[in-house]
Amino acid sequence: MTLRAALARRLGVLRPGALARSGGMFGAGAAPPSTRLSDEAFLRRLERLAIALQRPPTAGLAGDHRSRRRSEGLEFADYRTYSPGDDFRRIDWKAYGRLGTLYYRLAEAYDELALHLLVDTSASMNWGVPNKLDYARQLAAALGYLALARLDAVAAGALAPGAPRLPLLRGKAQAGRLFAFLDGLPLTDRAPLRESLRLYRRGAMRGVVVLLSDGFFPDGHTGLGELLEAGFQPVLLHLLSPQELEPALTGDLELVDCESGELVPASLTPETLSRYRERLRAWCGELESYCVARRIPYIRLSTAMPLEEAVLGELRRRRLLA
Amino acid sequence: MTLANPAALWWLALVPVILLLHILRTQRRRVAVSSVQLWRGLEAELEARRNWRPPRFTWLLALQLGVVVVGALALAQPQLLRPPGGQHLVLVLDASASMGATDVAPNRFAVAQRVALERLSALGPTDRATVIRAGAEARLLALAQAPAVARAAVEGAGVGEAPGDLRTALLLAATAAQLPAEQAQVVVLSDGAYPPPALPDEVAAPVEYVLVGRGDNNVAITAFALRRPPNGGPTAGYARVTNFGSTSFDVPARLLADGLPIQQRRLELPPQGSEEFTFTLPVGTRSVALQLDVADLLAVDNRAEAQAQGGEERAITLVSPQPELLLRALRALPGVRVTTVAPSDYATATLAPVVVFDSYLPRVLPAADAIVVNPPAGGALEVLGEVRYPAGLEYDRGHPLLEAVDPVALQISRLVQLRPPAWATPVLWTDAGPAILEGVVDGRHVLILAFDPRASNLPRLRAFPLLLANALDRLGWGERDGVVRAGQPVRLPANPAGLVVAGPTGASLVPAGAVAYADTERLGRYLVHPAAESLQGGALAEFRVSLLAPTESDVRPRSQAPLVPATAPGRPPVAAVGLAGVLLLGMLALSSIEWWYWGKGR
Repeated sequence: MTLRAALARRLGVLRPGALARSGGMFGAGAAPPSTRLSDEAFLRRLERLAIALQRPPTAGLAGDHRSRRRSEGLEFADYRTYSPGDDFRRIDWKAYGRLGTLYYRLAEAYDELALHLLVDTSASMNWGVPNKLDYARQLAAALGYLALARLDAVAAGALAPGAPRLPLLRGKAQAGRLFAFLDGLPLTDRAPLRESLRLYRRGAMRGVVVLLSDGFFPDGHTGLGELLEAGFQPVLLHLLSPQELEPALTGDLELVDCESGELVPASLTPETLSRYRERLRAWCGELESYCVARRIPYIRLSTAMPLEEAVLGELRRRRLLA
Repeated sequence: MTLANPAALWWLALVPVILLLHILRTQRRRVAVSSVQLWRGLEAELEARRNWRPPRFTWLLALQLGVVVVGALALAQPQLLRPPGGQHLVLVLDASASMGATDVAPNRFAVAQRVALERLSALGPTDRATVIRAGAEARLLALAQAPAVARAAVEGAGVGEAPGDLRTALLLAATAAQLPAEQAQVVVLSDGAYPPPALPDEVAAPVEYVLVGRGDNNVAITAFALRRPPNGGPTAGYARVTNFGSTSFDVPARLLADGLPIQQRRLELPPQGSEEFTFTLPVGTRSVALQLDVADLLAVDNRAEAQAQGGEERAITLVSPQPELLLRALRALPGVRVTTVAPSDYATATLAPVVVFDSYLPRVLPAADAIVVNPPAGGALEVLGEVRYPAGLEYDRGHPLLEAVDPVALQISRLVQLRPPAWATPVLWTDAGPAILEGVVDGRHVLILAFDPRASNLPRLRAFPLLLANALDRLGWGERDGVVRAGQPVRLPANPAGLVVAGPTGASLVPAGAVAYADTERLGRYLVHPAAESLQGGALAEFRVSLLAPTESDVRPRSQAPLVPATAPGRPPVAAVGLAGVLLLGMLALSSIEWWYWGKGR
């Protein structure tokens, strides 16, 4: 099955057999990779999109993204007064004739964007119907594809120390490598966010780091701020399954944390579930507030949302894509 | 439904034990979640707000409780008793005089009828009903009939004016309730105004007692009697009026002799109070009535009538070879005219209505009441022999013949041994045989003294004239005090050829030989005629019926249940269907489901 065909199937809400292999009610299971994109129309539409972050950090190589720098290109951007050493060919002589001052013509610079796709591969992601990890892989594949199509550099990795990482790829022809890498991402143990990001950014080209995670970080989410301080532009795609948003559990249960194995007894009544929803809202609100305060784009997605709608709709609406 | 082993229900005590176990340790099912971060401490936070945590409903709990309950029921061995037939409703309608009280509209009996009809309406077409009217005599109006027939019987019944024979009615009901193939229920509709009947302790059917009536304001004539003094003076009367209500009554009372008022009184009666008074009748009075002009709940007890005994003498024929002793004794009684006849002249003699045979007895008794004294062999009675000085004197202390007579001192020196006739009942007897017998044969009252008074100390005893007076009272017709109480049988004159009794509700034929007339449920005047003569001719006798029943006049409703339903079935269940097997299967099925459900949750 091609990547495109797999992604086309993912355009629906549920993948065939997703519930059967979820290992329980919505539980963890050995989810086979499925980042394949096949819907031709979807791919064409992806190719028309681009990462729309304003002034993302770039590495200086020419690319498709408007840079903070000014260059000596053809597209006029601004004037500045002439300084000795400037290329006198870019002096605006007409302005000098009118104003008697030498003005140097500046042009827009276009840099290459480095897009880092970091997928949370902890066990908590391998849960829910639709499976969050599958959803993250497919979403990362879609973002990577559109970035490669826009001549951006795309790197990928798992959000865990020592996890395999894919170096920067350029050109649409590298999409296959990207998909294969995403498919081959193994499940990892719980990893602290700070440590994982610190290790990842070591030697990495500055750029946009898209984290696809459910946010259940053992050490909290302060690592995002450190990433920002290191010159990267983090973006948090917060993925939650419908079963996390509206649990359909009742009765006396013993809840097992699929990552830590911790047991929590819970007698689930409408009252308990209402209290859970309050907690979930507060937790998501706290995460979002943290990101907003640092101008970190935060987008919460339910895995029940079809991938096409998420990419072409929600991410565009939230101005991550344009 | 019954339980063959109700002790097994103690297993139900496991129910609270299971509940307690579920409260103390709830079995939780494990469910994997992505993270317990948001669930941690959630339950504790909620539980802290709650003082008590009831056991939560789980299917496991329901199944376990079901296993225990069904198992306990199975061990109790329930049996379904299924009568093969339908329901049998036995209705007892109290039709006594008190049921005519008007404290409920139109009267108590009509209300009882309405209730009875409602009960009958509830029956199905396959059910059966028995209707018993407890009037002066208990009468079976319908026995195990279809509801429509029983309805007609109830609608056709009427209230009487006499005390009700509830005892016999209830015995009939108890008997009807034992009819096989029916599931019976006895419903007694009454106001409770009756003496407690002596009945079997238990009746093999559920008994429902429907009390009718609510008021108690009633004034009644509870005693009314006439007595002619032995000296032949004017007839004296006695009356008692009682207020059975809870309020005082000021009652005008009128005394009428042959329909004309002879005396008027005003009786002030406190609650539960009585007033008595006497009066003297004018000479020649034939009938006397006491009328109370009061508006109370029961009207039939506001009037009492009595037939004054006429001044004519009672004629007696004494047939005896030695009549002196009995002649002297009989002539000592007031109003008696005795004619003596020698035994040799008996065949041609004209006999009075009462004949006394002394030491003589023809082979055939005459068409008259008779007293047989010292019967010889060869007469109408079979004589076995004689016994001298018989010992072991015993007598029937409650017999009317011995009223005011103390026979303890009686000594008999020679007792005629008789073969007791089938119609005769011993009143006084010795070890050697009966000494005094009484009975009725072919419409004649016959009294037998099986000894010669001259061969005893009887003539010297004060009991002798009293015994003769009682004997004449027993032999004659009518009542000594001139009063006939409603429902009470009235002795008729000698009845060799049949009589016709014309009463308030019409005339009825009394067959020859009958000595009493019992259909005296209606109050008023009754005339007795020979059957062969026209009713227009002169009457042989006349009597008047009054209620005079304090039990009926005390109309306050009394909740005295006359019958007690049996605690155990009076008859074996017709069909018992055991349910234990089905319940055991159910328990096994529940156990299997519970086991499966428990394993599924592990």
